[in-house]
Amino acid sequence: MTAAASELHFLRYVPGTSPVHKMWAGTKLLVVAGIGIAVVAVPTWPAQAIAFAVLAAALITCRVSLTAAPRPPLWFFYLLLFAGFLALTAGGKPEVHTPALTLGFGGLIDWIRFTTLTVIVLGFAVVLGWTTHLADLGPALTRLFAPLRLVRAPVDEIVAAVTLCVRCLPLLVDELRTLYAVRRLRHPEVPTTVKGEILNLHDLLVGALVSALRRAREMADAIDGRGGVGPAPRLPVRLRVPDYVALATTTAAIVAIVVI
Amino acid sequence: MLVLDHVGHVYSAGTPWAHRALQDVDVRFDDGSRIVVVGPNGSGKSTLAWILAGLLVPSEGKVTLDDGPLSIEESHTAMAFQHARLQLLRPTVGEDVRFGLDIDDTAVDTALADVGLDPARFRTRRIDELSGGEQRRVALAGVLARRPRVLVLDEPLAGLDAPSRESLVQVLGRLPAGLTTVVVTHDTEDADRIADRGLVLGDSRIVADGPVAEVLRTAVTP
Ligand SMILES: Nc1ncnc2c1ncn2[C@@H]1O[C@H](COP(=O)(O)OP(=O)(O)O)[C@@H](O)[C@H]1O
Ligand SMILES: [Mg+2]
Repeated sequence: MTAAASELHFLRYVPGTSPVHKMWAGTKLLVVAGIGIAVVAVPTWPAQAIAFAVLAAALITCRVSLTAAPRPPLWFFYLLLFAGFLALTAGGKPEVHTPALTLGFGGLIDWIRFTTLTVIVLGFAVVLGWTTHLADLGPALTRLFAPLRLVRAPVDEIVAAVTLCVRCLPLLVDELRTLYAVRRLRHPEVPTTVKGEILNLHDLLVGALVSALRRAREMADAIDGRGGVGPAPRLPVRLRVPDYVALATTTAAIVAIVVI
Repeated sequence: MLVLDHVGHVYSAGTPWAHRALQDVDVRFDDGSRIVVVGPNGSGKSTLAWILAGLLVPSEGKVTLDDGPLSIEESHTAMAFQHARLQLLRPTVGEDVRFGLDIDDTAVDTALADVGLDPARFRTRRIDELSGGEQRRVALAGVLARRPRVLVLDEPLAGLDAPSRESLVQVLGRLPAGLTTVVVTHDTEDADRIADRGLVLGDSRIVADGPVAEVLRTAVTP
């Protein structure tokens, strides 16, 4: 009845004591951001291979069972395949000539390259989520953004906003689950027309917006009640061997990606 | 008769987050019976509620209504959630009660009267002007209008002030006769006014089952 088979578990922590777990959250953010930006800027095959090697090393070192991997619903894969089909019809070089027709694989290859790129970038985000307590992200961001204070960027506010979003994520997921259940109970007929489908989506979105807005207002009141955002706690940062190894590897990988 | 045959549930089975919420629940509820399920936070009450409402397929065992499967599509079940505002899907009270149903004004008025809200005063009120207790009663009117056979309420009394609580307890005391009602709650006050049978959940299992007064006595003094 419910779609229990597909579970996203996005940004869910898996307890562990691996070197990746012990790293400072800021190191992991730097690795994800550094490699992510490099590989998106230079999305060639060799660049992707390097990024993938770093990802594989992280996956092995973090010792998290692959059963923790997100399981998107089946329709997601159908959609992906359909996009691939569309890309194939787009043609482009290289072309294969048969007596009957000419097939251009350029579009398809671009599609594959884009898909693998997305998987790699999401892979890094997933490892970050598995190995990092969400509560550690706020203080780490405060450190990383500290130089921005020189240009008078509202660092404390940015960090507070990110921390609040992250903290609200589980609540939002919970409310969406309830909203979806309410929809099913009160209007179980499966929409058969496009209009019905759109109305269905519309109801869910409006419900989600109303509840998110109410939550935002409650939170704003709570923050005002405590007298504003205030600076995020500045915890001392202790970099250990795993941090240095990760940063060195990342720097080498980024240089390689840009040079190749 | 609603039967739970060795029902158990593990969330996120097969992942590092696998978590057992319910184990070997084996109970049957006669038509029209009034059951209250009590237990501490995290004991699996809401999980049981979602299973009874047909919203969650248990990972073990099965649930049947008169030997057939429980069906949301045929409106066998209805559920009122802890969070009333999320259940109200239309801007005004009247529109909300009618939502998803093919019923006329008289039926809407009856549903409102059933939950103790004066139709003339409330039919055109906006949802967001109502108090928490009133929102909960409108949500209840909406699910009752579907004429379910099984009604599940998750923490219906939580967070209400004394007068709202009292009027909701009275509404729950006079629900339609044939309706099987399961009320899930962590506070045992007023439980004996809502139900005649009590189930106690502890650590994802049923630890007591019997007449509500008796069961609550043992639950309060473990
Ligand atoms: N969607 C879910 N995914 C994973 N674990 C859950 C989920 N819902 C509840 N749980 C866990 O299952 C246990 C029972 O939860 P629940 O049925 O909500 O208990 P109660 O309503 O008695 O407080 C709790 O430990 C809770 O953390
Ligand atoms: Mg609960």
